[in-house]
Amino acid sequence: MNPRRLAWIALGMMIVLTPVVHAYLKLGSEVSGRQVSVRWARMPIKYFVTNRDVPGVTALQLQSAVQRGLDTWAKTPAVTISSQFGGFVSAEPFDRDGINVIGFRARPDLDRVLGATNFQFDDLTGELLESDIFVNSSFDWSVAAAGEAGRFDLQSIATHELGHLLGFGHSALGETEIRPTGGRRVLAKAAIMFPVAFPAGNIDDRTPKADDLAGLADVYASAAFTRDFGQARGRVTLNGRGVFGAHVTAFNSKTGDLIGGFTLDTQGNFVIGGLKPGLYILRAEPLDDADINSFFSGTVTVDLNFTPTYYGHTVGVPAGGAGAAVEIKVLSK
Amino acid sequence: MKPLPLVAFLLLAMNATSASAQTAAVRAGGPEVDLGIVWTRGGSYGSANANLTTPAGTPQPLFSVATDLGPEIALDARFAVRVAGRLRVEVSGTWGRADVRSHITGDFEGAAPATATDRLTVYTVQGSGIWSFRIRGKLQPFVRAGAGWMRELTSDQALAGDGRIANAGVGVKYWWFERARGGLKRLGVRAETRAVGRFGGLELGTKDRLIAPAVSVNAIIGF
Repeated sequence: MNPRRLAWIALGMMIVLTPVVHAYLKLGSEVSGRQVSVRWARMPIKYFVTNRDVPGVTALQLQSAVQRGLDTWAKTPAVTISSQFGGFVSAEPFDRDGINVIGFRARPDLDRVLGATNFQFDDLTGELLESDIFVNSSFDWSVAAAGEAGRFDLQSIATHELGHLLGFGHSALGETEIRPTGGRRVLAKAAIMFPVAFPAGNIDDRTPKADDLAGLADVYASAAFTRDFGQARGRVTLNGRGVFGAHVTAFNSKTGDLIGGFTLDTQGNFVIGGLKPGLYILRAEPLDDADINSFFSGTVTVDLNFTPTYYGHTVGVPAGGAGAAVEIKVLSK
Repeated sequence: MKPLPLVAFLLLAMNATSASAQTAAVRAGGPEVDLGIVWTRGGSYGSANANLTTPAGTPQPLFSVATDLGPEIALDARFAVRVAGRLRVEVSGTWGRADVRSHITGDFEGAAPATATDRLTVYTVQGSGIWSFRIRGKLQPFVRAGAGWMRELTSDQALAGDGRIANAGVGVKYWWFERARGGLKRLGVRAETRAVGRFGGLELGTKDRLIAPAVSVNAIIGF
């Protein structure tokens, strides 16, 4: 019998600890030089909800918001995922109890964390074994259909955390500015998996964007997905050497899809999967719109000293494959 | 004295006279093969923004892209036969190159404007009808219209897109050599201008069609 090596990862709206990452920060583990994606191997994903009401939201409303979030992810084209509600429990999220628990917890000490996800996986196979989500009840929450001024939309935040629960990390498709009081404010973004949430009252993050859908489809790639979607790949280099941690976006002007990935080794290699066949514009930029540890663990050095740069050729992405590898040469700031 | 050239000239002259009398019959009958070059003007495939969404729900471009297709130069081969009266049908094929250019501006983070390019290979196969106004004399004006299939390929041949192509235009054939007998009966040139519509293909931008003028010059061999 193979001994199972278990690993725990905690993910938050603003905190991510990832031992190994792929494009879209698809979480994974390296086994014998081979990348193994973290994903649920068995469906449906059974989850439980902590039986605790908070001001403005009952446990039943939390469960409804979670189920809507899961149903939203399940509609991703070429992906087959399913879920099952197991019931209300007294168990708390983040307890290592062998069941997937989602619930409110008061964490006033985490004054910039709306919610967080952790999970346990087999780092030989990548199979997810348990995942919990806590929603920080120190904030004001809303389940109103159209959102509610001054309150964070529970379904939006739940859908983001459920993206983590399904096995992928943060997107960098967004622009922020530093708040005078600390932290960051979103100016604009194009992924619900961006690590910084929209302000209270906003409900836009209920709906996954092209980047989110590509990320999920890449984690749960079906035969249809592999056949119908393609990849852009290549390197980002600075003065001839690879750039680690560059954010590379692919834009299809026909569809309007904007999908991101990262260079994930010291050679500066990147692969952006889940692309509809077509011509793409590639852009590389430093990862400077969120805290680096929202994307990478603290043990790596992310290169930020370069300017946003476009690749000088359009890139053809075929169905079921990839075009020629490209090299995006960036310049120092 | 070498009388042979003179004899040959006289024979040709007699043939020419004979051919002139039979021009209509000769031109209406035999198949024609053309080979030439076609130039097709490019055009815009529209512009698009790589949009982010602001907290207010409004789009915020990360950058903007305007895509156009440069002029295409193609080799053009055709085969035509008469089907009725002055009407011919023609099957033609082209093989050409054109540059697609995406002009990138307005970067949110101040990146320098850039142009991303690729050289596309374009194949077409079309069927057309050609109706001649007249078939006497050296000049033979005509109108034409047709449609067919188009394939566009990226320079690395990784991506191909099929589409439709249609054309309508006018032209003229000029015959400088004709004879009534023999396998090769006519030699001439053909010039024409036409509007070419491209639909689909690689879907280079927000617009899925491009209508542009084209000019071609071909050498014609008539049988």
